[in-house]
Amino acid sequence: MTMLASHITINTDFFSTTHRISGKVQMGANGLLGLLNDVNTSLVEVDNAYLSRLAEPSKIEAHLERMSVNKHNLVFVIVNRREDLGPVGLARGGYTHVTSVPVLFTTAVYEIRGTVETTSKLDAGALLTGGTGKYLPVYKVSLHSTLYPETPFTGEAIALNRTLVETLAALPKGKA
Amino acid sequence: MANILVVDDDPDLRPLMKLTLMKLGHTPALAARGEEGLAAARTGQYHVVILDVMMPDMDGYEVTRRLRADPSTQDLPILILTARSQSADYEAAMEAGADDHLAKPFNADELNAKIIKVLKGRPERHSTSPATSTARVLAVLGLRGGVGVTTLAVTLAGTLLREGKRVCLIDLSPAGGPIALHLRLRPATTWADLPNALDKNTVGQYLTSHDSGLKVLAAPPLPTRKPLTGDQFQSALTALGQAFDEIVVDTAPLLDDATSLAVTAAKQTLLVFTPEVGALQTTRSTVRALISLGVTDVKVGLMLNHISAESGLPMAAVEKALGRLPDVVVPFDRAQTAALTQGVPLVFAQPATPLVAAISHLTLNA
Repeated sequence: MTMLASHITINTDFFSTTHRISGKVQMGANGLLGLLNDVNTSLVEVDNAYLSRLAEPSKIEAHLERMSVNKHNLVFVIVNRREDLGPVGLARGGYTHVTSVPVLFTTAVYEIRGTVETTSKLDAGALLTGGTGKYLPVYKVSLHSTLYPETPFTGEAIALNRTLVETLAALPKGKA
Repeated sequence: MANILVVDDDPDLRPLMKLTLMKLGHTPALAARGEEGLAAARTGQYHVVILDVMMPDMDGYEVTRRLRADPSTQDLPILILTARSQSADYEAAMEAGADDHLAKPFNADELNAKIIKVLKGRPERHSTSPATSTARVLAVLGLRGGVGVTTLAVTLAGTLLREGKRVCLIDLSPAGGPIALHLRLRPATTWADLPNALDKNTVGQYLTSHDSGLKVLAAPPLPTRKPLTGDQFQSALTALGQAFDEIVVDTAPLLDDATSLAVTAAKQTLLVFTPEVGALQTTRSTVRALISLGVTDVKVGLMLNHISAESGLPMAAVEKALGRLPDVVVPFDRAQTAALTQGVPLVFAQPATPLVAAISHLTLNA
């Protein structure tokens, strides 16, 4: 395999409704959001993948040299560095003055608290249904599965599959 | 400086870790898999093991559990380094027996801070490692130079000898063998002649005897550019440890491989300084350097040495600069000048002098 100079590999944590998959993903200049929002592919290839069940997220159930992850059913991806999501313009749609708004998202099995960046008031419709990308960036995240609320997860940023979001609410400042 | 074993299957990360650890002043070794790491750790050469979690054959938690189950490695400090950075991962690492956890990506300062933390957390391991020795090793150190390290090392060795102990005095100086001068010895062999491998039966031929019964591993009589290597010194220290009760090391005025090994192997390092600003500054930075080597505070004895009749800085200023009072204050002793001239150390010629008395009353770590 030829690696293009613009490609970098990052370690990420993928979460479905049942499993955690930790591994390496190769991405281009558009970062992880570029990869996840690429409408020409439905899968993300994860190399050197370690599979854990959500019930025991630190226990490694299997090591796989490569796993194909279905982007449509994936709930979110945690990255340790905000910049791994991709260029700022791509992540929030342009160079403008932005405001961080604390929010709560719920999906079928997760409660997710974090901040989203908007250029005006929080517009739930635009955030969840506007544009074309399936995944949106959420920063300074803390979350847990409703099935195992005693096991929290945190991240500098996540790419959240907005098609799986069931509810969204703005939180008072400092409550994210 | 610590000997660090890195166990990580990532072929890109291993050389990066090696470079980072070398830049931090450590000596890294690399293993790509869990089994390989276990075998390397059991050699007893390492102060710390840094373990990746996600490895194909045996994950880092399992390697940790096996290290803890093995008596030869159960006290080895273990730092888990992993891309899995959730609190559940931290708890899993601690449950397996790791000492700490660091998430990737990390920077060199974070890594070094964690290494220092795990080293400090298991001080007993470092008292005997890496040089396994049955003797007590005492290091006398003064990076400033000219603060009386050799005089105090000779006095300490002589004091222990007079207590009936079998004592070996080692001169690590690369600049002309001051101990031979103090004791008026003409060594036929020095540490420059040491082979890489020694045992207790062969190490004796490299020692020089003093009339008092003191045995000396002398330094080359002329300044040398070829330092004593860590391997040579470790081998010598291990062999001497089986033949003596006490090993007193007059260290070099720099933290080269041999001196670093001496202070990490020592039950106690006596840090010598004089009551003047430059010496205090050097002492403070030396303490920090020792801590970065994994030498805990309790193993560092501060020794204020008055080498002239002038009183120097007041004790309050010394305490303020160092954050604590010296463990021992050695008074100026006029008799020392004559002793040096005559080549008969005070500890043998005039054991009742103030200088010898101060050393005799020193409380040393057992």
